[in-house]
Amino acid sequence: MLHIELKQIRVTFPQPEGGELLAVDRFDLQVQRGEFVTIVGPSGCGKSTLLSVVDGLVRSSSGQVHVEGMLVTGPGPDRALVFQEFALLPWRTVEGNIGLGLELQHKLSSRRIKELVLHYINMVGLQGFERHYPYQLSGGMRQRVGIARALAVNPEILLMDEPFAALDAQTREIMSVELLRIWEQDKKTVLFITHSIDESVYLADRVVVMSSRPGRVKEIIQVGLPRPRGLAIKDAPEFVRLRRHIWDLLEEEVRRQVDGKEDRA
Amino acid sequence: MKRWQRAWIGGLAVFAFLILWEAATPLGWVRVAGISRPTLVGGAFVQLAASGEIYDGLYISLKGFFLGFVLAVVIGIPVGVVIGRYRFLSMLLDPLLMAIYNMPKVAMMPLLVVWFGVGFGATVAVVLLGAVFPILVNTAVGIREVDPVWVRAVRSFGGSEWDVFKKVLLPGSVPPMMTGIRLGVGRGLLGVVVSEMYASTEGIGHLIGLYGMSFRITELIAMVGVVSLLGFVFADLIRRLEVWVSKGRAEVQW
Ligand SMILES: Nc1ncnc2c1ncn2[C@@H]1O[C@H](COP(=O)(O)OP(=O)(O)OP(=O)(O)O)[C@@H](O)[C@H]1O
Ligand SMILES: [Mg+2]
Repeated sequence: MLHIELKQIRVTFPQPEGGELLAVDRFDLQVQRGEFVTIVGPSGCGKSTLLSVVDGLVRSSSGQVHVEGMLVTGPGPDRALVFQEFALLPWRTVEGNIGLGLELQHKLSSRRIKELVLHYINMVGLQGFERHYPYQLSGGMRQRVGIARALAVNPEILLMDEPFAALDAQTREIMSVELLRIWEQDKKTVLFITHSIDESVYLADRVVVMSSRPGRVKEIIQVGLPRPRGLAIKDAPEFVRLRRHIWDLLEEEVRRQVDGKEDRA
Repeated sequence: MKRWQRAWIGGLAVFAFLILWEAATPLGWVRVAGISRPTLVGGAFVQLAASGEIYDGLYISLKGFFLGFVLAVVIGIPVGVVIGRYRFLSMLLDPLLMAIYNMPKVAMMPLLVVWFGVGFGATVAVVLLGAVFPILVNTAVGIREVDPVWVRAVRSFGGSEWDVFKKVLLPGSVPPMMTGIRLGVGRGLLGVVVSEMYASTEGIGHLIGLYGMSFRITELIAMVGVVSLLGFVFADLIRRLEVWVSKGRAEVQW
């Protein structure tokens, strides 16, 4: 069943020196309910911008986003965003930060919020850090707070912007296994941005490869690997083939970006 | 270093200063009529306290200060928030505010006396004028410097403009706001003293003016000491408030 539909999304930003920067252009994508879609693309190609548009934080200059057939005009409780920059409130503890989304919905009593928050603290493995402030946490722990904060509002759509970027390689793998485990439980629809090609294939039903700026869909790759997936799947011939293919696509784009810069110089 | 150690070292300088001061007259550096002596000042202080003169003056001065200062906070913070949040307002008002901000408010004293009469009204007005601008301007700066990603986080979870205000803008701009409050306390205190010296028949400032004009240096210094003690106590209170607020209590819960 169709869950998210992006139609001809175009986003421009006004530039300080005047003029406009075309960040995303003619971007089309359809995401099915319960699908796990990963997005890869060169740095600055408009991935974060695209996710903000789906979340409703940024208005597209033209084109529309529909969620369950409804036009997106702003943020909603059906979607939650995990920010690339964590976006934790420094004067709130881990507990306070994870409870933020629930608090803003004004639906639950503070006692119930506290219970839920504890549940998600356990889920992301932050027991014992409930009363810590963000500055007392490592980058990886902060990002786990961001993930728990998004999960806590129990959204139908999870938008994740490079959530594992701050983690070391090992923790990163463990977290992606964890994420799949959580996802297998209730199959939320996930849009997941990453710079790691491995991660993009390992997690996804489909991988969207974006062109360099302005961001467009370069190619969408179906990942047919069976689920549930263990880490061993990364050695499967099909996995290796997909990884190679995505690598080639991205290399082409990065080259184009670099060459483009030289042309202008 | 421990706090008592630091206090001890700092106290050393105060002690040395008092000794030099006490010794200055016997050693013939100056005449006692010029700078008095700490022991005499201490004695005068006790006497003024015993006669109730200090309390009466302090009561009047503090009343004027608090009324003016509370008004300054009540006006300065909301207006600062609005100016910091809406770019059009800040473009409109920034030049005007900067001009008033940098003008010494005590220069307006005669005008204030014309408007509010001699005494309490003028004192409240000058405290308000002195304190409101640093509070307002620094609050606006604080709001502008709030990390936009925090605002985006609250918006992303469906927060309204009001939620953004109470959960991000207010707590996020506390450090500059406290700077404004600290500056405001200084300017307000200055305002009280000047107003009472110039245009009042009561209060610590009036007593300072009175002893000054009659060359009673010892009593004069005792009164100045009361004012500087007041400044010290306020600074300490604000430091405590800052610590308390920075522990995350700044978010408004309503
Ligand atoms: N609020 C904004 N105002 C102006 N320009 C912006 C804004 N947000 C993004 N941009 C510009 O849009 C382009 C795309 O930015 P975006 O953050 O979406 O890239 P990205 O693909 O997420 O990059 P990365 O992989 O490095 O995170 C960049 O050139 C950026 O400078
Ligand atoms: Mg990004």
